[in-house]
Amino acid sequence: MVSANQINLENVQKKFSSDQSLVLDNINLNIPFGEFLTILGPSGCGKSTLLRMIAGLETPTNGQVLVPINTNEMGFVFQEAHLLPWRNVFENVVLPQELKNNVNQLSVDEALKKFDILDAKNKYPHELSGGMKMRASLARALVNKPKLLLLDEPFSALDEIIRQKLCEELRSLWEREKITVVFVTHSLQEATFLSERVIVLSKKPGKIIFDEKLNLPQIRTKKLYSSLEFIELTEKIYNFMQGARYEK
Amino acid sequence: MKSKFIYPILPLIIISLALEILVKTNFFPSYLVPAPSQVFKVLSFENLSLWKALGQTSLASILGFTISLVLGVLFAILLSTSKLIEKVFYPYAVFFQTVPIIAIAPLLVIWLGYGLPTIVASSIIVSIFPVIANTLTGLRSTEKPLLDLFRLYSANPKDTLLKLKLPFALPSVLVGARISSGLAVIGAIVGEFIAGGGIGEVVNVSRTQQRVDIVFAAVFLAALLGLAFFLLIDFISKATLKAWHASER
Ligand SMILES: Nc1ncnc2c1ncn2[C@@H]1O[C@H](COP(=O)(O)OP(=O)(O)OP(=O)(O)O)[C@@H](O)[C@H]1O
Ligand SMILES: [Mg+2]
Repeated sequence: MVSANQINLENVQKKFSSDQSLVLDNINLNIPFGEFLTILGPSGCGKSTLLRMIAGLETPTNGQVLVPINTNEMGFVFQEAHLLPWRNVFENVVLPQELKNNVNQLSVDEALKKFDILDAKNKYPHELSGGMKMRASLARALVNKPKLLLLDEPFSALDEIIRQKLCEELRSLWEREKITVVFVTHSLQEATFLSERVIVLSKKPGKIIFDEKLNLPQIRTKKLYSSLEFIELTEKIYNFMQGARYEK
Repeated sequence: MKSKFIYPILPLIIISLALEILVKTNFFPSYLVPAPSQVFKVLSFENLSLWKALGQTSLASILGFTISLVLGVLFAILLSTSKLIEKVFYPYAVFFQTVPIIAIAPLLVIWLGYGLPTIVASSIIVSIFPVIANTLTGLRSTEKPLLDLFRLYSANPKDTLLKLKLPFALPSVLVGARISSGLAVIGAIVGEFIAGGGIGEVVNVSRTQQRVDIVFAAVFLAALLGLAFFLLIDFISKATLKAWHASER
């Protein structure tokens, strides 16, 4: 079952040494390369922990996490942009290449272009709006042409309009390049709009209580929100999430 | 901009005038409190040695401060590398904060002799702790997600320090530097009391000769030196922050 072109988590359990309660339990998950997977679940159920485990930033207490991708080939985006305030946009985005000693100005410009922030490349973070900061952060995650993009609620601090715009841009980026994306969010709409597959975790300790491929069109625009299939799907996932919140 | 300096000078002028009148009318005897005009005379003509002393104290303070800054930052970096190292060595850093410099200055004379090395050492001992403590706080304030990002890109320890932790710590380092700039002057003058030279010696000698006017003039110069030093470091730190930490603009 385990192959070189998928991410594989087997019977994964996670406890933090500081408090001995289980955070994640019995996680079995295969993510084929090229998939756009979204993780939903109530606050504190272990979504971030799961994502960090895939990135190799946490180790499982039990079970196995197999990610046949070098950490250098991963991009990670956090809830906030986390740019270095003393560097301008270009210098922030070039950072991953700088740390690997393979700076390539053209590919930096390319990454800046992907998220439409090339015009602001000489600006400092404090001169940018929240949306622009997030664009820079996304460009930084993409500059090394990652095979795996990990996003932890990247749009939750943005207003509705910008959030929708970035969702569309992220989706079309995925349509073009088919990199593997694991996306964590609280927003059901975001999850359904963006992804090919959604999993829902129960409340702590997080277990996978829902795992389904979404049967939605490849090309997605705002119109999708008012389509019947979208509404039915969100309704269905919503019910599972409600279950996750109240049932043990 | 100018008025900023006028406000604090105003009380000085008023108090000086009042004091002048009180001393000239013999309300205060001049062997206890000198007339401000007398202090001014000492400062302006009589005593070139006073200005020479100021030069010596300035040099010792600048040396003491610079060495404190460099050693303090290096020591803090060392402490920040591991919790164990910190546990073992941090108490020794606190030692600098609590040691009564007056008590160990004579020891310094025995080890380093009368002269500049002792004075600079005294200045360092008094001024190094704020640099260590603030740098350490700063090094610990790095945003956690950024540390994760550097780990993800397998950044080496040198890059993590120079490109992430130190720049993040810079505002704290400069807070430490500002505090320690004033302390470096105090430490140098205390050292001079024991080891000779500079404003410390002038105060010490004039005191025994009952020359309160010279004592006052010397103390006034010492205060000015401390203030000038503080303002200089304040200016440098604001300029540095502007360049490095563009968010301060
Ligand atoms: N480093 C840590 N040490 C100890 N406990 C931790 C640590 N990181 C997370 N936890 C705990 O693990 C649980 C899951 O945390 P996690 O951040 O993964 O949840 P989450 O689903 O991402 O929540 P949110 O939706 O609020 O972001 C929480 O109870 C949290 O307190
Ligand atoms: Mg989280």
